[in-house]
Amino acid sequence: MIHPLTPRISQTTNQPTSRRLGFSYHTRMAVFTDTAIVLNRIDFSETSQILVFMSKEHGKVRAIGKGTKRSTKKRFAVGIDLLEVGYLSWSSKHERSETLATLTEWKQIRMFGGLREKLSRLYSAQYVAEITARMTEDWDPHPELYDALFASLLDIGNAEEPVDAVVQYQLALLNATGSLPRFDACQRCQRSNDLSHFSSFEGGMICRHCEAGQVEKREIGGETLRRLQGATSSTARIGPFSVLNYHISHQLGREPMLAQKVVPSSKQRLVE
Amino acid sequence: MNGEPLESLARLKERFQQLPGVGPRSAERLAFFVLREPKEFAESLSNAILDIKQKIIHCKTCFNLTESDPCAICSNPRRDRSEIWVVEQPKDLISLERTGLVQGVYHVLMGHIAPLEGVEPENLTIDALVQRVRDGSVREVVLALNPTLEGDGTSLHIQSLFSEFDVHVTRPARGLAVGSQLEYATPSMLESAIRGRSKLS
Repeated sequence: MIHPLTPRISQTTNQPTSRRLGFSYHTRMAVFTDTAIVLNRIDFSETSQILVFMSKEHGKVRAIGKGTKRSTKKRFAVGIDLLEVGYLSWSSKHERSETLATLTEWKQIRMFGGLREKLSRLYSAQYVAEITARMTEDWDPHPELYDALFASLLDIGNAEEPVDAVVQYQLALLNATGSLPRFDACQRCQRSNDLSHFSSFEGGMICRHCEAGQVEKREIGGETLRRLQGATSSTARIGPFSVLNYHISHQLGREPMLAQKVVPSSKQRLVE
Repeated sequence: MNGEPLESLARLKERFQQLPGVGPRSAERLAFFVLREPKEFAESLSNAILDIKQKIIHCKTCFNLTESDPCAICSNPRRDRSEIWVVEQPKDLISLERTGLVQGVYHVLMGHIAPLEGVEPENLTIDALVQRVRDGSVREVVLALNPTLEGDGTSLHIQSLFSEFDVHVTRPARGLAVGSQLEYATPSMLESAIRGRSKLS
């Protein structure tokens, strides 16, 4: 018989990055651990913060970090910064608890030093973190998205022009959340030629013959379409970013706050 | 009555509870402490609280907290005006002043750029800093901001504004904490220390 206090934790995974540590007997809470990337942190009080993590095996985790802001305690090192990677431990009543988890330990594994060298890299990385935090659900595991996020932060930190790495991540995020548009055929008539406009409502491209009947749409240039269809030879950068950002904005109901910092709106209107 | 027989005591307790780090039990203890003390103590406490609201202003030059404008640091003739130390908050300025090593003057930004929280450059005192550098004979701007992602972003933004000025933009060294042990340093501390290693001479 399962003990009523046993947390609902998958026993199938033997990954070293994710395991249950056991109970905290004082609070009757289960303690979990995972590797994670810090997506956001909000000051809660003089010393505490609410932190949003993208963990590898547990998806997005929201936790309150008591004393993390001015910590001299070994368990939180010297504070928790945005977009650093670390071993995360938290306690909660059960794995999918709707209330905030309590952060019990954070051990930094690495940071992406290159992000701090150029403003364009820094804003691109913050944009990536913002769309991840807003497009994913709490406790919805996406190990492949975690890997894509890690890889994109690494790429952005080394890139001269980080927009390319951002586009790669936008595609990975939309794919993982089941919102990836179709770029290979008209979403109304299924024709694969004369694709000229993108419609977020239709979920992809529409052709020149069908676009007149569609109110919500934006024109797409040939280079942008080739890039979105997977052609690596395409030189389009801003076009693909702005199309995917347009689609993400539709999904979220408003534009991500960092989008204008990655590519200003005046440039986003260009048709490549 | 709501189970609270002394309305004035409850009001004071409620006010204390609004202070950072003060919970209901501490608030109650503080309220009873004030009640036990003589009337003069309560008067001096309330006067001290009123005074900081009425007398403390921001220095129009550096935006530090002061009772007179310009502040004691900006009006000190022995300070080196060619060196501006830029900090996020007045609390950071106090920490730097405690070292006794800063000979220059300060500029308090009143925060850092945080687009996710809606804090843009125009919400800070960056324009006033640029004006100070443009007007005066500033040789060095030291960006002593918190070594966080937002702090570094703010530093990069300010650095870009000064790219066409004849001014050195520097920042304090970062990395290993003095007195700490290497084996307990975080990867970010080590990375900063390795990148910023300096010559022993």
